[in-house]
Amino acid sequence: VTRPLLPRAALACALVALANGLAWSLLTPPFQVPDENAHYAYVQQLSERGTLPRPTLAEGPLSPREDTMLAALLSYGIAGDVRNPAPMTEAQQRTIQAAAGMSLSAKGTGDVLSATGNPPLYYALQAIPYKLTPGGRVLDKLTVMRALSTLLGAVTVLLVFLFLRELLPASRRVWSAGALVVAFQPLFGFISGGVNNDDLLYPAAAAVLWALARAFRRGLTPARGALIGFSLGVGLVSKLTLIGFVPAIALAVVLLARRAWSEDRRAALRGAGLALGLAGAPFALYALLNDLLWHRSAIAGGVGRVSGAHGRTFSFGAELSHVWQLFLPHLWMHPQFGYFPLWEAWFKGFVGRFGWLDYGFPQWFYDFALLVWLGVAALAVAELVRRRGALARRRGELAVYVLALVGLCAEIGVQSYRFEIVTGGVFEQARYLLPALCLYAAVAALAIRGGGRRWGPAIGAALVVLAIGHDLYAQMITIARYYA
Amino acid sequence: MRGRLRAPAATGLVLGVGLLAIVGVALVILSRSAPRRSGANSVPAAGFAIELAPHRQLCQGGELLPGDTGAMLLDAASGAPAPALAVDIAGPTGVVSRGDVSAGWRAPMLRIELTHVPATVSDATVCIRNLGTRQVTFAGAVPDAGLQVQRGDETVSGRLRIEYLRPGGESWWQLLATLAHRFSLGRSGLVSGWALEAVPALMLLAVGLAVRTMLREKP
Repeated sequence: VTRPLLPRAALACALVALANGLAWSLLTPPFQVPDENAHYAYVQQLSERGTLPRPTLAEGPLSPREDTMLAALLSYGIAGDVRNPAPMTEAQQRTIQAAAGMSLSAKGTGDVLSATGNPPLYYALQAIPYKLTPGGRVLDKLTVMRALSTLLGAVTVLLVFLFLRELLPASRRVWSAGALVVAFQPLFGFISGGVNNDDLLYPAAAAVLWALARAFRRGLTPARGALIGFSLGVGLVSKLTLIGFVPAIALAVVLLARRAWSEDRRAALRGAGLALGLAGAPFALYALLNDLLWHRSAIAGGVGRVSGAHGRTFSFGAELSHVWQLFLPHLWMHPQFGYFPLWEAWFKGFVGRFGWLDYGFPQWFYDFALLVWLGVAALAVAELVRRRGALARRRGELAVYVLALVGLCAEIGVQSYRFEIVTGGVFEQARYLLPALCLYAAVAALAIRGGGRRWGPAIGAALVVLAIGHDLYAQMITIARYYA
Repeated sequence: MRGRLRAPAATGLVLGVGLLAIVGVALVILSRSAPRRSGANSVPAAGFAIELAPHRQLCQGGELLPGDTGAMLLDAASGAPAPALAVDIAGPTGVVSRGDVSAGWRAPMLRIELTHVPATVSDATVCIRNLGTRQVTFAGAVPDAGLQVQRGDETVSGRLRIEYLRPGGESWWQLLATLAHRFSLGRSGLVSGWALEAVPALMLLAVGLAVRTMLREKP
């Protein structure tokens, strides 16, 4: 049966994400999404100078226009301190308007803080609304740029729907529910409502997983290989985090080529070649331009050892242990964290920590969320056990998804360790896991399917209602945090 | 089908009950009265570092005292029993508000009731007098380049963290007009006039679309 490429339900789910993301973009004060000042500065650098940022010996400053606006908004006083609200008086507004009315340069030193080493695709895309927004006002440009980010969030949810359709083709009732659970995920809504290169990483990652599921279901052809490669290529020049998916994609291509070996070897090999070429070409071009034109490193900090500061020394053994402990109990290893990151950073962060990680839910809410999650996970596992015959036939595909998640975690762990060695700071934030949103939706979808014909619809509706309640509660604490 | 709900009916029932529960909880939260801020001076509480000895006075200039203020909140520590304190706030034209707190207050959150400040006062000076026999230490940023606190005849580089509160407690409903005003501040002119109204409208649209999509889903 031929299905339309974009079912109406998929478009509806994407619209839900768009509306939710726009609400978040209006709720969150300017520059209160993590590193939004740095991401805005990257776009400004690209638009005003036509060049990529370069690290300077001393970080910053940003352009006088942006720095003046950040000061007028009290951005650095609000960020990170839950008791400092957004501007509340007309006197503060007059200061902001005066800053907006100043004729200041939009060109900085070329350093854009934490965003300096990022690849340019997201910023190149954001340069369009930056340039099209008339006048030079920082807040006007930021508002329109945020709208583009929410559009990318909607595309992410659309791709999550399409992923579920390929993954569980016989269970159409779970596609919408799974996509809606993602659309109302508050951390995703919050990040989608801000200017951050994660906003292009998420749809690229969802597109990779959709393309893989499509190839596993229908076979590897040149077109499907091209889709895999193109999605990965876009992702890699948006944010290098997607390197974590590379081992999984390599495994997938090998498995798919082997499966097609006796039937259509030629098409499968062309598909594999296109996947490799379209994934590698943008990154190779990016690396080349970095070296020849922009005179900066393609991978910030390099790939080998890094130099530690303040007595911290790099060791590959400690790095391996760090990656493990960032997600799992430290067992016999020397503890590297004074807390349990799986609970504090990943679970609680994913349930919701907002702003510059300065506010979240009360403790009871995280405990309740854990109970819900355990229930959902139990239903999903039960469904996998019940369908173990089908699962055994698709074990290669399952291995690819597991490897994608493991690769993502390993990549985050490596960055976390190197960040700690160089700066002594804490790196991990739950938003780094959102490239795996498709797999999150898949867990929800499996749980719904686990309810069978009798309970499945009710479980699906319950999960969507819980997601809505979760999102609305997150928005209420956001209003309380900044405005009340 | 006897004895069990058909799939669309089950979906509708769960969605209906769930959304009603959300509305109910939201109504309870929105109706709850609590202290609300009128502003803050955005000084980070870097530690308890600014001391005020017995019978001495400490003054902090350059404060933006927000309109509709009826109390102030300080991070303070003292040995027991904590001493009584008196506060005078002066604007460019003279004293605009006064307040005090009796001895025995509990650290670290010190709330001092003030006479109502109807309109915002720029460049206000907040003076705190220690009326007791024990030293009080306030939290703030020390040192703070360019900002000073006058302690008797001594000038200290630093700044007290001060939060300003509206009088009494208010529900979200009572705060709605104030929220609408605050939503218009610090934003692009493209959205400042309608941002607050747009948020519930967008969320209604999102929830409505989600419900419609779920109800139209075929098993």
